[in-house]
Amino acid sequence: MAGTKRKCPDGGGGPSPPPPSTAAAAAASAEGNDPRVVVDVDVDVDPRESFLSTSSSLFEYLERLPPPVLRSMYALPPPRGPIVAASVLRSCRLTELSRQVALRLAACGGSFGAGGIVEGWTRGGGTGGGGRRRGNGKGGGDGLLALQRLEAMGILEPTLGLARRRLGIEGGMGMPGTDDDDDDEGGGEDWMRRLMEKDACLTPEFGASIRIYLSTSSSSPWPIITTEQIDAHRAGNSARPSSYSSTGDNDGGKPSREPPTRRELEEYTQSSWDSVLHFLVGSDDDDRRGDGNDESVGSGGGNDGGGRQRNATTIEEPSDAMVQFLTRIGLMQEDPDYVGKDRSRAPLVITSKGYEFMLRDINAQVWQFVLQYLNSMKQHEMTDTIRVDALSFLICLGSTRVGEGYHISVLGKSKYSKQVMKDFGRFGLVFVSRVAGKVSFYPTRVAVNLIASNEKATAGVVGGGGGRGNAEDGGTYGQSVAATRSLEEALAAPVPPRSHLAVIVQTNFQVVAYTRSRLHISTLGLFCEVQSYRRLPNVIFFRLSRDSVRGAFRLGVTADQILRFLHVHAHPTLRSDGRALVPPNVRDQIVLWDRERRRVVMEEVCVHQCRDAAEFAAVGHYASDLDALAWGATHTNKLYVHYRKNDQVQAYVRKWRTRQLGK
Amino acid sequence: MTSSSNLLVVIVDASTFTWTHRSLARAAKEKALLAQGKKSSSSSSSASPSGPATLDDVVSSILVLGSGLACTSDRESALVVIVATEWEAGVVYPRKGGGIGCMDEVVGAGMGGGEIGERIDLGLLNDHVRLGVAEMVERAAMRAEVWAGRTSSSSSSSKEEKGEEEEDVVVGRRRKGAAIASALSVAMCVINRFMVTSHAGMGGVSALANMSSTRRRKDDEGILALVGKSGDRGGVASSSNRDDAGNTTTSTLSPRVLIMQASPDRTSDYNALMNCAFAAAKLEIVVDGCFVPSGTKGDDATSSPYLQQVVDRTGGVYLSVPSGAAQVGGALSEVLLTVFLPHPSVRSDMNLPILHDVDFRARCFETGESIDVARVCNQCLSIFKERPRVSCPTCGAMARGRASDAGNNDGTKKMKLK
Repeated sequence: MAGTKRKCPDGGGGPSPPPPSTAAAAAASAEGNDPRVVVDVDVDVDPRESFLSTSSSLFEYLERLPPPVLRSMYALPPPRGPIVAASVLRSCRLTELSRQVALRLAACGGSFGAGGIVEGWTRGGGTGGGGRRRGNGKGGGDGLLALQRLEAMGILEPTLGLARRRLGIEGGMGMPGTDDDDDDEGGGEDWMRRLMEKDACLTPEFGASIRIYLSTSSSSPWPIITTEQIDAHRAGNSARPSSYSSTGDNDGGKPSREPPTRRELEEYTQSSWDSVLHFLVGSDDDDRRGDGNDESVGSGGGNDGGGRQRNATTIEEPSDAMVQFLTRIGLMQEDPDYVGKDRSRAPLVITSKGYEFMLRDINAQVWQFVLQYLNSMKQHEMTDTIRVDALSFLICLGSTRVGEGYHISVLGKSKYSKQVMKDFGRFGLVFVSRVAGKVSFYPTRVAVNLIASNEKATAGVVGGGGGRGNAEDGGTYGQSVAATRSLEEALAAPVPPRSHLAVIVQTNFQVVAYTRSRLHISTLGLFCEVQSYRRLPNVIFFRLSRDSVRGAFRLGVTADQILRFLHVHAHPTLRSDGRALVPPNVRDQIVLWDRERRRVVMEEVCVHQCRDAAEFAAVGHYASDLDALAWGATHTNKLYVHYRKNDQVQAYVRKWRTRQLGK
Repeated sequence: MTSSSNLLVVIVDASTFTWTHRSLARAAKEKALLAQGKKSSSSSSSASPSGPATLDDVVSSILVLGSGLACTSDRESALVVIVATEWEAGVVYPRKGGGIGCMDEVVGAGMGGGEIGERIDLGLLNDHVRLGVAEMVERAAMRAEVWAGRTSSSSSSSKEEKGEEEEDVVVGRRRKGAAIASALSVAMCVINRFMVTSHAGMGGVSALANMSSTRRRKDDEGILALVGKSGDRGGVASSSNRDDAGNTTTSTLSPRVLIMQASPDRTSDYNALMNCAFAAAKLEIVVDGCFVPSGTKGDDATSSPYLQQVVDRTGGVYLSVPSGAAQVGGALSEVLLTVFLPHPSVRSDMNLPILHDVDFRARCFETGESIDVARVCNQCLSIFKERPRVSCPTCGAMARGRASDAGNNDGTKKMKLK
């Protein structure tokens, strides 16, 4: 009660930045030559599209696609179809049991009685051993769940009607209930019996693809560019240097380059990806201050830290298209505090959504980008074709290895595939260059990990389709692996790269961050004290303080995000011995600081000085009945009454006093 | 419910004698069928209900199993294939790059590079397993030849009859059965290697890991992160709890072994095999057994009692593939996919073949026969059908004189040894 009247600077959460302005006029003219990127997201909202666009992982997205589209992805010619099939099978949208069922079905010819699967193959048992999870009292709940998941992913023919039952209820897909769609408990018995008589059939598309996958064994989806090819090309060139440009083969006059090394790929990813993040955080706002605008208004204290840590390395500005993309998906907005006349010259500042984005792990960030990219195509007339192309390409990238290159010819004749590939190149998913005389692409770590982390996501799926998947867990998991790996590389490399970050949070609220990246430092600066840092060449020490953390809260960051960030980037040594990644006292304190914001509520009150204890009791009673009582101090007989209801209380007080006088 | 990490070690019995016999038998059968004109030659290979599986069938089915594993488990799962011939056992996938580096390829993060790589490289699996099997078979054949040549030459030079006899005995023993026990111990070593590296942050379970910790540190931390958030389970930080920590990691890794045996049990390996089985049970390694019987009349082995015992001990799945059509063409791979693919954690939810009657009879340590009533050495507990004359062949304890007075036919099950 002590702090009730204290003035709270950010009562009620502080003024949150206004919602992102859609379709930033400032950047609208920048990328006019690429129609697919400029399509506005917010023109009209198709329920299906908006449903798709909230998918938290690639496979959730697939699940939400209309079934024919998903099935057409399985039916793609090899290598795409089989790889998509296998990848979906591996994905977290399926339960372990459903994977087994699918493979068994593939092994035994494609169809089997549903009753046989649920009762014969699985051991659900009427005792409710595994069946309880679905809230379905019947035996074989796991088996049913497995079938339902398979059906939702377009692996089984939708004759069973399981997927519709679930999705119709939760998904909001606008599927009207048919006569089969009773409540789960309602027509249970009857429905179950009918179900058991049906056959579970693999969709022919999936069946064929998974069989191809099982019977052909290849290391990568496409033929890799071998060193022999590169050598042969080089030899060919050196043999006839004069005819180099005149031969008119695939060279087209442009020189080829050596295949990128692993390190180059890594640097490419960093530069294309980090430039975006840097731009978001505004850590290079010094460069942009040439405009004469005051930049640091919206982004608060964090930037001071970032700005101060600058060193000689420069990160190039992301392309205009990228900047526009950032504004369109609401991560950045025009500075709302800009006072100049020309709105189009207003600087871009990060939104609270952007801050949230910053604190996500990289796979989630990439997925957001890809998702927006897919969304942006929805007005194209060939939208489904392009989507299928893009998604299957993305999935195939997931089964490649970093450092292996592929000629662009493997993508086939479709011009969309090539366009998609180039667009992905812009996000840093692939590295495009000319190698051995042909345009080639090299998947980067980000691309490969994106699928892997999506597959890994531990299933919050189980309860049924459409539930909010637990993609963050999977993401962090993947990220932790990536973080460890990159740390290893960092330890091995003679010159530490800029990308890795390993954080140790100490019980005295000191944060030790092993990093050289300005980006990471400025991200940490969002919630650490930037005035009192100390640094060594590869380490920076920060302190967490109440003010710094509350400063982050003011920017729209939540305690959960901070803790997740610290968890994701925890130093691998912390992981190896089972201690908490963030000390419990620090964790609790951050949560408490977060709650503090809501603990203090500012109210306008009137103070009423009662004459005696009797009046205090009576008026207090009345005021609390009226919901007007803010607080009362017994020993001083003071009542604090809400301003709005003060009149009523005062009227009562007068009445009470006259009644007392009358007695 | 989540996809869990798999570590599957497949042991393939590639004993030349057995498979040569099988393919001969199959060829003969098919020839007979052709002669009878029942089948056209085109369909005979796929549709004929004849013939036992050939080694090629088994290898292809294992490749399919590998693909199946690749698309049901996450990327951190690993597959190791071990081939056992009559003479030796060796890891064929992942193939040794050369010398000591081979295990780095299996375990280390260096294989996939800086990403979460797909660890089961199906293309390499295909090439390496086929190549490895061919190599091992060839080497086994060569060794058998050399051995036979040596014995025959030695026998011709000195004592003819005895040499002949010896060759018969030893070759007879040799060609019965593959080196399953040594393959299983290789498998255990590989699995241990995984387990050591998987929590090397705590020092590992072997002296080896400590010794080379500086060299391996890089890989170790990678695999540690890969194998799971074992650190999050908490509470096992101190070095005194290392055993617990090992178990924790084991359960996330959930290693298992699949033994595909075709040749009859090798009696001389019984001890080694059972030792492996108990070690596996202690480390919670599940051993599955798949026996591929020949189905021909001359060969009466339709199941492997040793394998059954191992499987029963470690809580795995045992299946004796039905002979005939279930072994031909793709049928064997379907059997493998259906029965042996499920991860141990799912098995509780699935109906899988249950091992009912296991032949638990003990084996004589000397002859390898199954025996109901045995004599046990009171020093090393070795079991013998016949009472050893002078001393226990296992531990060398002298048989006491009094026992010989008492004779064999007093019905006692205990042999008194000095």
